[in-house]
Amino acid sequence: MTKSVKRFLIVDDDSATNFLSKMALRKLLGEIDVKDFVMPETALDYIATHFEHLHDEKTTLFLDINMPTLTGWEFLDKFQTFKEPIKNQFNIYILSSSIDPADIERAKHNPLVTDFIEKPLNKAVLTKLFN
Amino acid sequence: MSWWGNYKQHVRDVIINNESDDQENVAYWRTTVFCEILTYLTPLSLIALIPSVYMAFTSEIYAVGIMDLFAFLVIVILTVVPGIKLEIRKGLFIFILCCLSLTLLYFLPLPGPGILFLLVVTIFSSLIYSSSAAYISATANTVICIGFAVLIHLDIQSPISSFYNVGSWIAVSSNLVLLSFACAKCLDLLLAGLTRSLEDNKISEVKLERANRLYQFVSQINQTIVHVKDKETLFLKSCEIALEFGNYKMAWIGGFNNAQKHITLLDSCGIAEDDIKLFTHIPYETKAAQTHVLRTGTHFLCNDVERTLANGDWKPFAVNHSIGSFIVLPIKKSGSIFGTFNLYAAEPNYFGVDDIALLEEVTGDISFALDLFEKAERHEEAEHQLQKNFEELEAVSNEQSAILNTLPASIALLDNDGNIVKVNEEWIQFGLSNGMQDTYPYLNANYIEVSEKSIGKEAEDGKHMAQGLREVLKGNKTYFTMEYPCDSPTEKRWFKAEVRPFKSILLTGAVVMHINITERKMAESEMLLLINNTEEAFILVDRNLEIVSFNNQFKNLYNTYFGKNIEKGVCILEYAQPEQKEIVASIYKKVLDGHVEESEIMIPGLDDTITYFSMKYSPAKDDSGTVFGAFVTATDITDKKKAKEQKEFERRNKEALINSTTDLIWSVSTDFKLLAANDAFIKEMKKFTGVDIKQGEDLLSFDNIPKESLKHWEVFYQRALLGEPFKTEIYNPPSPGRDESWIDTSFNPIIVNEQITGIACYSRNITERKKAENEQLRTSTALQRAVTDLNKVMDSSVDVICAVDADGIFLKVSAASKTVWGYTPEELIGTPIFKLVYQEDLEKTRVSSKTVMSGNQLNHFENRYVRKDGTLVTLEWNARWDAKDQIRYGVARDVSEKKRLQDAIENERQRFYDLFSDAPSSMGVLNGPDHVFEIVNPLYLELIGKKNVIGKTVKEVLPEAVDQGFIDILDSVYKTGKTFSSSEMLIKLDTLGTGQLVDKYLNFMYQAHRTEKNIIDGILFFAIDVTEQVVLRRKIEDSESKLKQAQSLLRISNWEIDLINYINTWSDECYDIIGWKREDLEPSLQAFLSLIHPDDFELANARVVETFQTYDAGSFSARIQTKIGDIKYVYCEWKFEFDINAKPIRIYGILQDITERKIAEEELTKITNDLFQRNRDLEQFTFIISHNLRAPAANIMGFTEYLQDDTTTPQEQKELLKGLATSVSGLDTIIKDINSILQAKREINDKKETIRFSNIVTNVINSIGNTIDKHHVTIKTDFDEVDEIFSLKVYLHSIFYNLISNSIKYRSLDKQTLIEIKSKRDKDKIILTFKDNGLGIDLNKKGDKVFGLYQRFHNHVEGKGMGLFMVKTQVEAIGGKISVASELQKGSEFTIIFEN
Repeated sequence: MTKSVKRFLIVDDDSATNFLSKMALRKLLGEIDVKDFVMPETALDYIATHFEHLHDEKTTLFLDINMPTLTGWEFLDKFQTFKEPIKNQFNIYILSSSIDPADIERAKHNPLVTDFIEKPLNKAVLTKLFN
Repeated sequence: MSWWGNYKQHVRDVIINNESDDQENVAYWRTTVFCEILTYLTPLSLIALIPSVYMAFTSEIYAVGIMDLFAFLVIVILTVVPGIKLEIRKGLFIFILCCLSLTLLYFLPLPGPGILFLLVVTIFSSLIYSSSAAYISATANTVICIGFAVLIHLDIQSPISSFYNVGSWIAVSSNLVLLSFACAKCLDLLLAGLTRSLEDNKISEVKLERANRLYQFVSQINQTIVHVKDKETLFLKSCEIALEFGNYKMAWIGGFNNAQKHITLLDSCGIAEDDIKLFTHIPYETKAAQTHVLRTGTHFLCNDVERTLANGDWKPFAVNHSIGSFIVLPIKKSGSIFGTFNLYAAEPNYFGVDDIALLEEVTGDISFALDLFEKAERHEEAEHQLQKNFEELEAVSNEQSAILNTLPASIALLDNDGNIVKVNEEWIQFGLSNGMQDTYPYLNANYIEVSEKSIGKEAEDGKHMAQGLREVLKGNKTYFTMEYPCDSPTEKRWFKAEVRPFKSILLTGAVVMHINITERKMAESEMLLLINNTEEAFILVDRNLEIVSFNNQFKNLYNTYFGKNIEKGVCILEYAQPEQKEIVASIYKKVLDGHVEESEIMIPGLDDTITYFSMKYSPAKDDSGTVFGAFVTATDITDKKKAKEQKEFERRNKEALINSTTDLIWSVSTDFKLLAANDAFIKEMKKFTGVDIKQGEDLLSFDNIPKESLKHWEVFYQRALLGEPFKTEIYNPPSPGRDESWIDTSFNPIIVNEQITGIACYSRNITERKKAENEQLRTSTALQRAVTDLNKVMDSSVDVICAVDADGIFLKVSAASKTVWGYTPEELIGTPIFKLVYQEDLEKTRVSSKTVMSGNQLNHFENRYVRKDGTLVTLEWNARWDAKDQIRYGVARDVSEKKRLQDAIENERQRFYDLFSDAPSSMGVLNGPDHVFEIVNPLYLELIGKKNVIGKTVKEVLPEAVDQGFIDILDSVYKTGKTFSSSEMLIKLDTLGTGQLVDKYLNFMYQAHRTEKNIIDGILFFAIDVTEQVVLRRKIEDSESKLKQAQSLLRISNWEIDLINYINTWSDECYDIIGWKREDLEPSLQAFLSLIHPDDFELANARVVETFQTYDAGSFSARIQTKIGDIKYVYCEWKFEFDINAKPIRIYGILQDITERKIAEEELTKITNDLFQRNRDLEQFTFIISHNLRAPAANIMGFTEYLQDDTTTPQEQKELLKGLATSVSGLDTIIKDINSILQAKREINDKKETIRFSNIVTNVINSIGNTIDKHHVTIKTDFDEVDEIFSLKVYLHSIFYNLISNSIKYRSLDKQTLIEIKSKRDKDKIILTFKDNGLGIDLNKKGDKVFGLYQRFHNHVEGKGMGLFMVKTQVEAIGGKISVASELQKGSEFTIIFEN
């Protein structure tokens, strides 16, 4: 009888962005399970420990690129080393304020990344993603 | 008295010589006495010899004297001469004494001396021989006496017969005989006694020794037994001890091997192992001694091998090894015979009774020892077994512990008092995770007390737990369980505690187990939440119809309607209304059989209300599908029921309404069947078809309705089925019995769940209206015709006649519009006229239209229009305003053609003037003989630098030209009419009006202007200012001459190859370039190619090969090596020369030294690359800046979007505003950063000055002194080597400031922060190093980004990531380079190098 809610992870060192992203998600999707991390390392630990068991529905991960201790790309490199069952549970979107074409290109070519989203995460973007 | 000693020793050596010195032997003593007699006799006899010899010779008894001397001589010889056997010595001694005594008796008148000597002989015999010898001597004495008596008696002439008669001789000699025998007897007794005591002594000594030996033997054996730990050593030692201490010749120990009937040698000593085979190689039955021992268990003794032993196999061996006696003793183990201890002695009769007793004791001890070893061995074995058992037990215990530890429950074992005896890992982990410290004393704590002492929320649960524990421990309960919440600091948790009694051999107590049931609890609570929050009421009963569970709704429901509380465990039937019990029971029966039942019950309320319930009974099944009870849901359907009734009521009303209308209302299914219809429709249909149509009947298959008509309907229906609602008029032509009719019908698709399921149709008879309309139509037709005529008139007009309303909308347009505007009247009507007006004329058109509308007649108003094909058309209007109808009438004529002609003339004029004024040459017309300027173009005015020349004479305008002869030329042209022309003529003009004449070179022409009558009335002049060209050409000429000079300097040389004779010719410059002397290098292609650098050779050679194939001109650049080894870049180019048959005859070419150009090119490439890199940096900088600008900007966008959102709550608004403020200030910060970066790039223009590093450090320390003090930072500086630099102070300060504050910001928190700043000079470089012991940077990961903008490497410290970027920018701005070396947790070192 438990209801399955959509899961989201947000990895961004800017807590204001995270606040906004969470609000955007809640406004559009109502009750969801969303967690945000300002330290990418913590997020990796969390994924490693909490996604051992399969979840029914895929989890959406919004990942920033420009972070001090670990960039989004470095994060993805580490994420790549996880086991397939863990990786398969994620849809990863790069959520960045970057407008560097190199970043966008790089995101499009990374097989782990579903798409590149320019900040801010707002209703319009989310509606397109989750219809 | 050494000579006496020596003498004595000598005598002793001579006499005793090799005789044994067995002092216990009597013979030894006799020999010693003999030796002593001789020792002392020699000197004594010498003393007696002198008087006796003297007396004998004086008394003339010579025989006696000679005898004395002879006797003395013999004694001396016997005493001192070695090599004489002792027996001979003794015999000679007695013999000489006898001879002497006989001589003395015979010759001396006195019997004394002779008799004395005879007696001495007897005594000596006894001493040096034996007692029997003494008797012989006494008897000899008697014979001598009797002989002498006979001599005397017979009175034979002799001295003795002269002295004695028989009587007196007998008297004398009888004494001698008597004394001789007496002495013999006495000495015999004496010596016999001595000898016996000596021998007795010896025997007892031997006995003592043996006893000692045996005791030694026993004691050694015993000691060995004590020390030795195993039998092998014991056997070895026993044998060794037997030989060493027991003095046996041989000893060995054998064991009986009962299975093989063999004796096994266990150990031996003193006997070769081969010899023992005599015993061990033969079955032991045949061995008497061993068998005896085995059989009897007592020892076997043989004290005289030679005599008593039966001749066995080893008897010869025993005899050979001179074994006199032996004993075989039994050795026992655990009471039975184990083996034998065999001892062999050299002497016979070696084993006495005592020996045997002791030996038996020894073997007894050995047996005892063997038993002891056996015991020890068993003990050890037992211990080993015990150890093994223990280990196994421990392994089992560990395994059990491991199992316990892997259980996901916290488990503890308690003793009877509730003390914790043992816990598993999880228990400890649980304690730790609940904030217990590492040292949490879980063992031995009393768990009952611990539970009881729980505080806070857990106090009550703790008491409950304690109570449960007590009861289980007391034995009142066999099981206690409770569930309790126990939240960790981070999450909500529930645990289930279980207590069970525990009993083992060691411990009686209880096992406590805590299981985390959070998940279950959460699920339960979620479930409960769901169950209790649903509107339905649930109840679950078991097979006995006893209530198992129900939710709050059910409880409330029952309570509300029946005023009773239902309870679990009670039969559901108890709660049914008495009259319904049976029905209810039957329902349940069916349900329990697996059927699903439904019922509706009606419960009258207190206030006339009725509540309806829908009951659903489902069988409750477990996982295997077995029905274990019934699950009942009750839903209050009162509202639904009421709604249904209401709906029904409404439906009837609607139906009545629908049926009361005469309009037709019906609906059609997708396959054109009637779904529903009102009475009017059915009636109408009956009228048409004569059939009472019913629901479900096909609407398109009526026999008496024309197919055509039905087809129309089908088309309508199908159109509606495509989803389009529409309305249409349908005309039914008159048919027999029916008038024509019109119906207005609307079709609406019925959409259910986005699917078209049918069509709702509504139809109204509009025949009456239609007829009225048609009538009206007919009356207006006549009018229409009049209008048409008018239209025809209008349309035949070439001019456009039109009517527009107040807004300029065309109401009516004549057909001419098509030719004038390109639009048909139909296209124009309804559109505004202004749309057609050309943009430029719009304003004036509006103004004029207003004029018209204010009541003025407008005539000949011109404006332009854009035709349909895009061309312009000019119209001339006459217009009038009809104020009554508010209509503007107008007639427009196309005047474009007229207009165009006018424009063409104007254009032509203008073109001519433009040509004149824009002509690239100065020109003009002079009028009259005075050369008055009639017209000039601007270029001419520009040339002469004057204005307002028209009407003035040339003389007035250009006074300077008079002297230069120009007026004369003009006069001449005017007079003669001959054209004058000149090129590059110098004229000096005061173009600036300063009186300063400027050189102008002109190509000019004066041409006479003639009237139509060919009379000269003026001069046309044309002048082209070629000053610039002339000056330029002069310059070119100048530079050309210079070029010629330069070319010689350009180091271009030439060479050629005569292809007919193959002669190579190189110019001197060629040799200069390649750096060889003509005499050193013969010119040839090979010689040249050999000079080419190996790296370029291939390319150059390829060109050469290619050119000889194609005979095309060619070239290449290559490096060559000069004679002295320099590298030069050369460019070589050549061409072929051919004869008339196109055969190549010559190659001629150049060789140019392009080294300098090449170097310059390389530098250029470097600069280009550098620029490229800078450009990319700049681009990157832009991206970074824009990214960082975008980040807060994006947030601001987000915040504002949600601030505007209607759903945002005031609380959210507050948070959003806060976030907005943060983002805005972030944006501000970044803009300030950018500003400071840009400023940094500008400040480069500041002045450089001499700066002291020490001053800068002092300044920085002063400015951030607080921080330095606060964090106890030590800054060490060393500027001894160089303390000054010529640079920009602002930058240097900023660099020092940023590096120092960075070091403080990223200091290590567990070390005292130390910053070392040092300067060094290396040639003309100044090197600054900044070293700290801070956190450091992982250069492997971040090396390329250290100096990047907005790069940060530590999360904990607030930083903008700008410091190092600024440092790098500034260092580079003042011509330095910065690098970094760093190691994580060790520190960083920044090195800045300034090149002077």
